Amino acid sequence: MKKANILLVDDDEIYLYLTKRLLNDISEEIAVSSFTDGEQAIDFIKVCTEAKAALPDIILLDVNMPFLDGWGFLKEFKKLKPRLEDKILIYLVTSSELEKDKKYAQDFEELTGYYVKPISEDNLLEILTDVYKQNW
Amino acid sequence: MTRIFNQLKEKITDSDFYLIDPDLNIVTSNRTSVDLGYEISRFTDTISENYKLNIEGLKPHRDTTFMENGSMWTLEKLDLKEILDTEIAAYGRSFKVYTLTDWAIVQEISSEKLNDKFGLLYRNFTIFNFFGIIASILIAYGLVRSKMRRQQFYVQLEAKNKSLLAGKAQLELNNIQINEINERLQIRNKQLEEFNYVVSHNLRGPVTSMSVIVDMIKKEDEPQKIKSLIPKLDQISKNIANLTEDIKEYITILDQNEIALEVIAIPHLIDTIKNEFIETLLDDGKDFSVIYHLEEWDTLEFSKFYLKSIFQNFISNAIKYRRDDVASHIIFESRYEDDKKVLYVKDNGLGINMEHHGNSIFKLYKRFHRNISGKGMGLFLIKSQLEALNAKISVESKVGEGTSFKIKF
Repeated sequence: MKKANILLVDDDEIYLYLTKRLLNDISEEIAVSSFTDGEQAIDFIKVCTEAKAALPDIILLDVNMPFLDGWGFLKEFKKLKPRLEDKILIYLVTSSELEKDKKYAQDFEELTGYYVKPISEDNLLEILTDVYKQNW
Repeated sequence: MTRIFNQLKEKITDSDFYLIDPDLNIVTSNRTSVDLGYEISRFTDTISENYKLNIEGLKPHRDTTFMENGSMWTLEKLDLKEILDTEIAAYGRSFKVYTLTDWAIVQEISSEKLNDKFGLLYRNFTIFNFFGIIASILIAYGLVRSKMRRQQFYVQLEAKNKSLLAGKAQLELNNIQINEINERLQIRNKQLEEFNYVVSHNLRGPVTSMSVIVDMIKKEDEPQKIKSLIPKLDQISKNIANLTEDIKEYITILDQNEIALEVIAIPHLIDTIKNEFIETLLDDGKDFSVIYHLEEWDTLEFSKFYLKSIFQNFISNAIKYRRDDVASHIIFESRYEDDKKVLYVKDNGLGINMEHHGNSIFKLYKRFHRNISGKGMGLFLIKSQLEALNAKISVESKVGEGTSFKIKF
């Protein structure tokens, strides 16, 4: 069985720690990697595409990050998308409750979902069920 | 002769008439019964007193018409000789004239008769004149009134015009003030929006993490796992404390209603700040120069505290993000643009990728260079401090060439 591969992109180290811990509590079969800004994440995806390495199935993306924020990541991702073999589902996970951000998010068809922090175990299960229903 | 005289008397009845000789003696008249048909000058004076016309106007004894004693007098000389000559010429007959008199006919129209004849006319004329005068007065009055009204109207119009002009000037002034206030409010709004964003992102983050940790602790039975969460809580509280400090600094700028302004000598201020950085520069052993071209203006009325902080951040950034392969510098250049003081701050450092970061250069906690420590606060503070005093900042940058800031005071 294929191991679930999740990428976390967030500059909040504690959030990364806690989300990793939650995911590991759900299943040890989940591989979790992380980057602290959008630029690193996009560079990683570029490298993986060129090397034909395994890409994450799910990306949990923060909005407010240094160097390249969530919106910037999505714009770059749009350019890369045609070259991707497998579908990557991107969920926006933000601490922002601003309507402005929610509306802006709707303009990106690359986005599968939108969550406001704190992201709970139930939220994560929801996401995982959606994605791996067919596989599991 | 008496018969002729009587004939004369009968015919002329309307007014009085006298036939007189050159001495104004009355030869005959319809007013007297006696006719002096003859030369009586040598007779007594008593007659002449009674039969003499004592009218001054008649004395020159020539044809005339005049008013005297309330009557109108007309004198016409009788030139019998001329009459006779014409008669002779017409009929070829000759008359034998015995005495050629020098008489004249005097006609007197008395005041009563004048009154009878002309009184009505005179009265009508007077009434006509009277109404004419009244009409003229009324017309004149009307004209004067309308002229006065018009004048008054002009005066009012002029006053209105003046007040309108004054109102217009006032309105224009108000408009300018409203525009200024509007601009200030727009900036203020943006700052508040920014503040809201900072709070919702940067404060909510750690707080939600805390709630997640609390949930975990509740569910966790193993003391060891619970203990492992404690350093995380500690980190969160430190993050919140730092954020609170940063927000406090920002709020201080936003909240400052009356900022102490003073005239600042820019070169002196730059020199002071440069000296503060000398140690850092020497430690590094690298070359860095602070250059200024302040020919156009070199003094500025501003908050000294803010300007110092602004220049410190600029110089600190220029040193921190310099390129190792060139002799690094920062240039302060003063200009006038549209009658406003403009300061350019240019460095030849690493530069910022404007395509990626154009929108977030002045935002809080934004960092553009990996591996170089930074809080992401400097440019945010610079912008806030400038905006607090109505100055505007914009930026141009190229990666590998440097960054140029333009401040419009």
